[in-house]
Amino acid sequence: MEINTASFGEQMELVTITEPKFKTVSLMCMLLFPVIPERNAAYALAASLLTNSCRKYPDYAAMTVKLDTMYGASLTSSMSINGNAMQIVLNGSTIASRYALAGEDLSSDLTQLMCDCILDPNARDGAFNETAFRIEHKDLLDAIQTEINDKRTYALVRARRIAYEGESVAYPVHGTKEDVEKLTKENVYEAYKEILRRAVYRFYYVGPDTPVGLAEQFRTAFKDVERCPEPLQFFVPSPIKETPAEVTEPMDVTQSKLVMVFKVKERNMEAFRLFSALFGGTPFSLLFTNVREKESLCYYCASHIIAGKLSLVVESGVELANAERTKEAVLEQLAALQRGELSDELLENARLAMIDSLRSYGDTPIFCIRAQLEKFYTGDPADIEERIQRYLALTKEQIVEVANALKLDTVYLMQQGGAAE
Amino acid sequence: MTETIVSRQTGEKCLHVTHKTGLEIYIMEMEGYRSSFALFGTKYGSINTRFRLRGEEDYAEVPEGIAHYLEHKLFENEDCDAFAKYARTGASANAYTSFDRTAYLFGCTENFNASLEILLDFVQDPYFTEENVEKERGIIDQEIRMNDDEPGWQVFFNMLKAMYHVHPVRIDIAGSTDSIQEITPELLYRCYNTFYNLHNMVLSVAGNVKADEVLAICDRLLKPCEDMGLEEYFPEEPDTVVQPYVEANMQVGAPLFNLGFKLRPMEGKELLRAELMSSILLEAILGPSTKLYNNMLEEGLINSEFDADSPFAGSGYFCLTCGGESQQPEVVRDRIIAELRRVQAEGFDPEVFERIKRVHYGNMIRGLSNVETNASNMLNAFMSKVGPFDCIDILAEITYEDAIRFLREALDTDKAVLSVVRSQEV
Repeated sequence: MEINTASFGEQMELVTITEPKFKTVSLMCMLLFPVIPERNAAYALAASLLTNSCRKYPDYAAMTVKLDTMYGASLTSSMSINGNAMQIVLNGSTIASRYALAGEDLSSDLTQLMCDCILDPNARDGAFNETAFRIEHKDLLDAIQTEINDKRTYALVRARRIAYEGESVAYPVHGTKEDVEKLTKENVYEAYKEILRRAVYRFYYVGPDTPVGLAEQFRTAFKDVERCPEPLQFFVPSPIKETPAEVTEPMDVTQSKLVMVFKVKERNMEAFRLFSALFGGTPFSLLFTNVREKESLCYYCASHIIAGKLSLVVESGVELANAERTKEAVLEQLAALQRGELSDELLENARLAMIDSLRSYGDTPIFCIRAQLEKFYTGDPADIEERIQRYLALTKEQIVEVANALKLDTVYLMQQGGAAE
Repeated sequence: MTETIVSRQTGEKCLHVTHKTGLEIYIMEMEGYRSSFALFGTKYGSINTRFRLRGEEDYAEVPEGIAHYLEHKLFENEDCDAFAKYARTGASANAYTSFDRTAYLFGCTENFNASLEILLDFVQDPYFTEENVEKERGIIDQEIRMNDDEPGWQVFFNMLKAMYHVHPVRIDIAGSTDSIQEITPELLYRCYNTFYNLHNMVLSVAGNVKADEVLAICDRLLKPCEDMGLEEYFPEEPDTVVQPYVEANMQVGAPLFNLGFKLRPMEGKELLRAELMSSILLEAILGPSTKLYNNMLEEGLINSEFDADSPFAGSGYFCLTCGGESQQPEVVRDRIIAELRRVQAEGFDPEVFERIKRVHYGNMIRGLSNVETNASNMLNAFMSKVGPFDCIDILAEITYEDAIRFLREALDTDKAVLSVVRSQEV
């Protein structure tokens, strides 16, 4: 695997990852800029308008035909918040040219299509195309409206909004219904221009070979873009509440959802991740073996971390009558770790799982990109092998330190049997 | 028996071994990869509720959801659970039960052989007691309740219930909170001894593996067993649907719908060919490049969630489905049926057919890059009674004329079911 980085403008970088074994070509374009919560809706709509049509392929049908002829290439956009940064990700993928039946140069096609979408959208005279705008506008309203459909995700979203109240990350990533209703094809076009101007550009290309002059191609394409990139912060610890917020919301569901958010102030990401793995991130973790298997309280009780906010989230689907006991059981497991009650076996097994997972990164394009993204977010040039060495060096004491640093900040309960407001 | 199977289209190859114990083994060595993936599966899922073995007069009938219950319980051996054993190798393990299969799997980059030993060992070593079976009931009850709150799950199963009169595909994979109360250690052993016979099973392995080492482990750990002459019973399913429309109320942000068309069941290569043609046809008639899709999108009848799914098929069932979100699902249904009838009568542009065939080819090439996909595809092919590369080979052979003939002969738009989930009006 060969990795190269090249700049193609101010705060514009291309990372190419050449891995001969892959049969696909992937191009990810990340546009990152500081969050302005009240602009989230406009940015979200602009992002979705970029990948569903462009001037050359001016509607959904034309874009689909283009992607079909590229052997079912995919082109999607998504938006998320990391630290104080809004991330718009445009993701494209197709098969490697050597598998093209008529010898087409698919990586060039994909690169050109991505540039067309970003730089030459389906717009004129300072406004997006009316029909395209109307379709995406409805789509965004529907997406906000149907957030409630997936109860597990909805509970997590609700808990995050309470845990980070007052912070930019608490604001809905796609804005609110009211925000979306105010959008017009003109002000969304303005938002699109803002994205181009404000963003740091990170492009990642993964394929069995890298086209010659790819960075130059991007440099030429993006040379006339007005630029004023803003500084980003990916680690923005959230203030810890003195008394944990406890919020219960009744809802018309048959299973209650419990979400607990813990926060820490200092970061040692490897220790934090290893802690989560052994606490609730694996099927041999303390939460799985005790809360699920020994006490049979739930089908899932798992933890994950939100790196940019230095938070650990525990989630579980439980019978209402068991919700309080589940919460106690989670806190008991944490208390035991805080007292240093951590077996060598559990520590070693969690370490092994983390390392095994890291070693598989080179086998899929998306994980190849993720490894490079980690360097960008942390500013830490450590490669996978160095990160593995750090996991190997972690001690039991460092894990116990994480346990003691964790403070319960938020407890959210979606309560079954109630009527939603 | 040992054979190397090579794809005519891509040159990809795998090793197929019929082990002396009766187990079918598929191995794909993937050069340059660090990770490996293994699945050990049995042809046993939620639909296999009635069966008998050679020499038995009557068919046994077991509670709904027992295959899934068994999957949960098999992880627990007498000494410790399988997850604890995998924890020592670093592998990431899991299992799943579907309508017609159960599979135990793991992925790893190190210690593959040790993890494979764990897999072969625990799946062949059941340990069910009153106590451990009882303990699992609460966990599975919560899994069922979790699915009860999933509108996407409910809208799909309601469609199956409205489509199939008696075929057990209408049963929820995990059963119900009532049916799981009837499950006992004795019943679990009965099902285990019937379906976890190596003659009914497959091992599929791909990635950074060496075939001779995999086979040596199999020789050592697979327990010889006799083919017990398993016979399954499926009640005769009428050719009609139960009801054309079904609606349920749940708290949702917008109504969800699933539209299905009941087709004659098929199997083996005939089914694979029909599935491929169906996928291409649905995409060509209902997909995002069509006038119908774009008109409905522009009129606000559907949003981008609308999708024509892959065909849904197995032993004794086969249906085409599509679905999404709409305030007017009945109007969407009527438009789709009208368009299907129009295309049945008039056909469509053969170039569209070729374009979408190319999309499927691209999707298959993508899969070949992925260790987990390759292992899963080999297992799925075994379950479907086809070869591991038949899919891409058959795709190359299908013509527009085949597809349009299939559409005219196999699809009866009168056998449609619309399932809707919407919030209760107050």
